[in-house]
Amino acid sequence: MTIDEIREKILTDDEFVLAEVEKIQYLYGLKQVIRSNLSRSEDIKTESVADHIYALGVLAEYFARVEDVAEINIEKVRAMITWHDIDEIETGDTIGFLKTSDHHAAEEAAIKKVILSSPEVLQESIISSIKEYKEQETLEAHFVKALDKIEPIFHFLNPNGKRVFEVSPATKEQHCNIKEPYIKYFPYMCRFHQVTLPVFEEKGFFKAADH
Amino acid sequence: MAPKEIKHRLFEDDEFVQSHIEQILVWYNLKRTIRYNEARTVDSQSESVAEHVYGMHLLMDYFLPLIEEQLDYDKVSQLTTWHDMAEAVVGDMSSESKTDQHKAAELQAEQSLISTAPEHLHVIKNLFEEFNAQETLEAKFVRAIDKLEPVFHLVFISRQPGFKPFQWGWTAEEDKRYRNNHIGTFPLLMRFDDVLCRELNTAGYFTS
Repeated sequence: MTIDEIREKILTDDEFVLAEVEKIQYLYGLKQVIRSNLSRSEDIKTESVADHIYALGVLAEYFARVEDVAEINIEKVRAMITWHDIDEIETGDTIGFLKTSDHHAAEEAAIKKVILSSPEVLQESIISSIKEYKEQETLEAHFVKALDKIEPIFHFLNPNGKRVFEVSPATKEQHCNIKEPYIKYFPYMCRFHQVTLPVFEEKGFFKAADH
Repeated sequence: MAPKEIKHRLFEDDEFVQSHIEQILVWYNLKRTIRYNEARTVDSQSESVAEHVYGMHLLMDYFLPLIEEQLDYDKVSQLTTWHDMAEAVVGDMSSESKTDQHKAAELQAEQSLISTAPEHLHVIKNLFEEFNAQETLEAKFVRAIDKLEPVFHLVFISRQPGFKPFQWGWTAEEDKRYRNNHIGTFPLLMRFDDVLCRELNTAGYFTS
């Protein structure tokens, strides 16, 4: 299949999109393969920020080839993926739709602290990478942000993901609102969201909206 | 301080290397930062292959501006992301217990991955081949980082509260000799390995 045929299938064939989700989830398997002859016996399988960053790298490979982003600077994308969540060393992870202005202020302070704690040889490039990501003005920043928002679809659409939703419930609106403003620039990512949304609904992932 | 001066000091001053190790290990905390209000209460010393790949990306970004060789960043980054993908099929096997049979199974797993991956990602075939052939500098650098990263990781977890040493299966000398075969091409990586080993060798991983 040529890349144009793949694009056409993504845009027109729901079954094809769901099959692609499964193939990508297979590549996500490295989040669950444990090294050094150790094991990790968890009731609900957890995900570290490092696991998430790995997954963004896989998705970047996938979507940089299908989206209309021929001019994208992939080197910049890769660096931005590595460094964009570095503030969470200090703040920990907070679910996107629960973030307040206090969280955002804490992120800013954390970024400064982590950069000051980093080797001098990398400080300038980390600052530049994070600044570009935060400003959301370039194609690369839009692309990484969109990947960051679409990535949980692939992580959650399985029985373990359902368990996580039971512990940390989200409404359909929260699920959509955290993604749609960012993926809107990328029609193929939008298709993955559009096709998987009814599956999340049918499988009962979402809690009822508060009215 | 200019990169040239930083590089000079890294070769001359052990304390300077140690200070950089401390700074790099700060970034390792994202292997222990858990998403979605979850907590990792059991087996917290364990590491996924994805977390190892993240660690490699950190080290790649750190060392690339400092080594003598001019490498293709994009190629190095892609090799880093994909080099362990066969383990999604066959699982991880530590170097000291890997047999020829395991290596053959990994090669077979790579073929299986190429055929089952989304079609426009079949280019990973070239990456697997380049990494396995170990002929390009990029492939050698990624292999060296692949061997150095666990040393950072083992030092990192040995400092965590409640750390319990687990047996690595080799003596410290055997382990170092094995790594030197891969890291030796890059003197700066060797410097970090030498300094890290002082702490690693006392953490209780090695047989006497």
